[in-house]
Amino acid sequence: MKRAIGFLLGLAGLLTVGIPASAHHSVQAEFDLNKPLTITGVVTKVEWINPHSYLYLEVKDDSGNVKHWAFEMAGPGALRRAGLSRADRGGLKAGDTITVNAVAAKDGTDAGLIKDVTLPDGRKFTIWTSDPYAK
Amino acid sequence: MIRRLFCYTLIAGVLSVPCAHGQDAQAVIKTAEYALGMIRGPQRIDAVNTLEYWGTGSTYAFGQAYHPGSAWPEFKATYHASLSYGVPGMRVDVTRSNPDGPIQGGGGLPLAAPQRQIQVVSGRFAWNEPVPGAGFIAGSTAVPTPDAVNDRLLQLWMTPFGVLKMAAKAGAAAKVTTEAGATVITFPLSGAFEGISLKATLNAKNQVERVEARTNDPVLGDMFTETTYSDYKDLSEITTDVPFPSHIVQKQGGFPVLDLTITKADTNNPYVVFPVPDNVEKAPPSGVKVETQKVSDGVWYLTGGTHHSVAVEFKDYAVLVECPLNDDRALAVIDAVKKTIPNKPIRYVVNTHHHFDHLGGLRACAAEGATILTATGNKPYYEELWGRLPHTMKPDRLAKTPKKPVIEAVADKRVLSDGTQTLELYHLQGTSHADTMLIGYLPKAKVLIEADVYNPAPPNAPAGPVVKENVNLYEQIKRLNLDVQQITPLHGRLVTIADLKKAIGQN
Amino acid sequence: MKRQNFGYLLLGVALCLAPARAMAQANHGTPRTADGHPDLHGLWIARAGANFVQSDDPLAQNLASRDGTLLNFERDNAMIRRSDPNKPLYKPEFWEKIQKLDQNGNSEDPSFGCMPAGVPRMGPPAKIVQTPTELVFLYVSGGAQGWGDTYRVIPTDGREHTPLDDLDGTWKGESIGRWEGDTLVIDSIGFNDTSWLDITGYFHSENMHVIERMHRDGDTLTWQATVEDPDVLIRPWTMNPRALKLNPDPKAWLMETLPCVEHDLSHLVTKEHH
Repeated sequence: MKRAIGFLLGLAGLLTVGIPASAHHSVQAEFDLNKPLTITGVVTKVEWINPHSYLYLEVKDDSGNVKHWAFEMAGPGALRRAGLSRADRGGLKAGDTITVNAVAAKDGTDAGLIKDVTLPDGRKFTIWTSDPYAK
Repeated sequence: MIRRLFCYTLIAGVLSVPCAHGQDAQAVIKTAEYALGMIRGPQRIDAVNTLEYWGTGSTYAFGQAYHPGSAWPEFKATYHASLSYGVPGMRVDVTRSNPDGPIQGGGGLPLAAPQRQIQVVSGRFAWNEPVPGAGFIAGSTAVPTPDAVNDRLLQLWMTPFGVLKMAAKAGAAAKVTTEAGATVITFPLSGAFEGISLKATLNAKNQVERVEARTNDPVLGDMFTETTYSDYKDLSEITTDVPFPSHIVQKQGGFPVLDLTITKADTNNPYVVFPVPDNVEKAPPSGVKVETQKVSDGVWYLTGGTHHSVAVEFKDYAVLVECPLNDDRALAVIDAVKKTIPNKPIRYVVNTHHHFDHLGGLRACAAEGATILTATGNKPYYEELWGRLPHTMKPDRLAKTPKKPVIEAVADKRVLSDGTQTLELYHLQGTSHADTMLIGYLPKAKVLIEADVYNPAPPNAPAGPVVKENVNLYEQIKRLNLDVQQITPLHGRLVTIADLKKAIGQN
Repeated sequence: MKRQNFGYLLLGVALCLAPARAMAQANHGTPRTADGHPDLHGLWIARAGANFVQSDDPLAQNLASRDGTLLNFERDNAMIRRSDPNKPLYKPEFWEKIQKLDQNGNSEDPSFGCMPAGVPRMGPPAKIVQTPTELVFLYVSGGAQGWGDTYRVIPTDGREHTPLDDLDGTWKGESIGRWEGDTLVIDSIGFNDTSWLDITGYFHSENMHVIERMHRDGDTLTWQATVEDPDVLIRPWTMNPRALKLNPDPKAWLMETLPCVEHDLSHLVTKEHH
């Protein structure tokens, strides 16, 4: 009985005191955490939305073929905490060439979940994932 | 100098290694819980609460073997269980059908059609239902089975996750040992299960591979239930990292009662609930009730429960046909015989056959001092069981006041007669129910006594398919040239020979 | 909010939430409005204490997870949320439906498709503005509480409900509030049947009736909802209570939430969700 109470209390601590954590599809339903990739491309658009923001890159391969990549990333708050200044964030602007380290989408499309970005001037920023407790 | 240093170091090294029986049992239990994916979250709590799983294979009718000492008869089964460790509750939904091959033995064989049974336990209540949630569906009723609560809860606590939860709960009372190279956790249960210990054996991956329990059975006394779990896999559509055994085998009394291949499991705490229906909550606790009905001069039909008996009065003694189920029923029946036939000892007790539900009270009748009349095949079986198997968990009357039972074997026919009353006993041929079946015939009253081969439906029930056993009974009555007017079936109600003829389509 | 204040806040929250005595504070310390009712005005925050394990994995930074990995966070969270013993008792004819909705939450849960959480799933608000005739609840933050910024207006002027047949059936329903002693009781009807009560496939009918109770004790606000829906439930369901703490910073901002756009569903390969 004691153990059951302990379990229930522990559970109660998780469930009753706070808001329930972000509910959404699991990252693993969409991305393969063990398949890293690195892409360099030109920023075409940034969408600041929930549940995750998006960064779109246009990538040209050696033969000149253009591919459009979409990367999920955290919101502006997370970028700020990663160290990108307001100017830098606004500076993830269309036309900039950046390099992205990400994990690949499971369905084989040109998509990924961003781990870090390297800006044109060489500075690298590790982007945190969406933190359910972040403001 | 160096050598001394070396040997001191060696000794110190050896001494510093913790010895096996100093192992912290709770640490071993925790390791096993991790192996089953139970410990989750940064708080590392046991997050397994509800489970659901589906499988196919076989169930076996415990205690209903065709031949005494043989394996329990098999049914093909599709199996669906849903459980909650929190409630605690379990719903087992099984559909049985006849096995391939020869159909022999009790437990309902042969089934006229695939038969669905849903058995539920929830807290301190147990019931059967025709469909899941019957007590809360219009037109559907739950049937209370208060005696089944502990057995069903024990099944829950013998699952791999359940046994670890209970072991954790046992705290310091849990012990860890090594047997044949495997880690074994033993611990006592408490509350309603006081006196029962569980033993869990872990495989090389620290997964629970076997759970053993010792419980009391009226026939076998201290009986072992052993469940083995093997071939753990992730059987869930949504990956949870909770492995589930894909093969489950349970044995009771040394023979399988369950053999399943699990094809699917939901280990992501599925929505399963066990609301207790009103009629189950309000059901009175089961008690033993004996009703006495005079059938003819010197012949009484003792009913009031699920298994009936017949009392026959002779000049200087009484004869009781059937001492079923357990001590409680048997002692109540003996009491009823003494009240109905006062001042005459019960000299003989007839045991119709070896199926456990009919055998369970026979030890109490042996303790009464009566001579047991049973088919030839049963004599060595009963003598061996009663001589070898201890009844220490719940000592019955015979264990408390030991007597050497007197068993007389009936081969084909035995007649008890004293000029005022006659009881003829015959070994029933042609039945596939049990090869030790005796029927009784009272020529004066023209009454036939039989068990299990003709269980009359309630009066006014619609006619069902013809049952082979019923046909065989009628043929045997004809073959033995018995002039039968009434039948006292040991399941059901008092009927006439016309009822039997109607049941087999002969009018 | 300043980082430093935020830190003190977390500390204060952690200290306050653990012992029961904080909750058992008597009514002294609870401010009241001119009409004598408890004043629920303020910025209320709810935050569970988290065990952070410093992780090298940038994807799992700042996630309270076993061993600090994202994989564990997601799988463990999914299981732990569903292990809650407090489950609504649905009628047996809906048991399989609940399971199907839960398993297919990625496509079935309206919240996953950026739809509102609705009442009662949205829970208690982040900010309350209280006047003598109404309370205004302001909601922020994403997730199961609903995406984007939303509000509720709870009249406490003694008005009656609109007849149910005249209501369209919406996500938040029609709420009216009244005081029972020091407890604010909010009575809501007129719901659609699209919203869920929680992530686990808990659907409801249009005849749902929700009673919320809110009580302030000092700087703690408790919220609890009871759902009555005899069309689908065997008996009413009282949800787990939630406790919020008053933000002590009088200059705290109500943060805006980014709008929700659903981009992932067509790329999902498994049914995992949490």
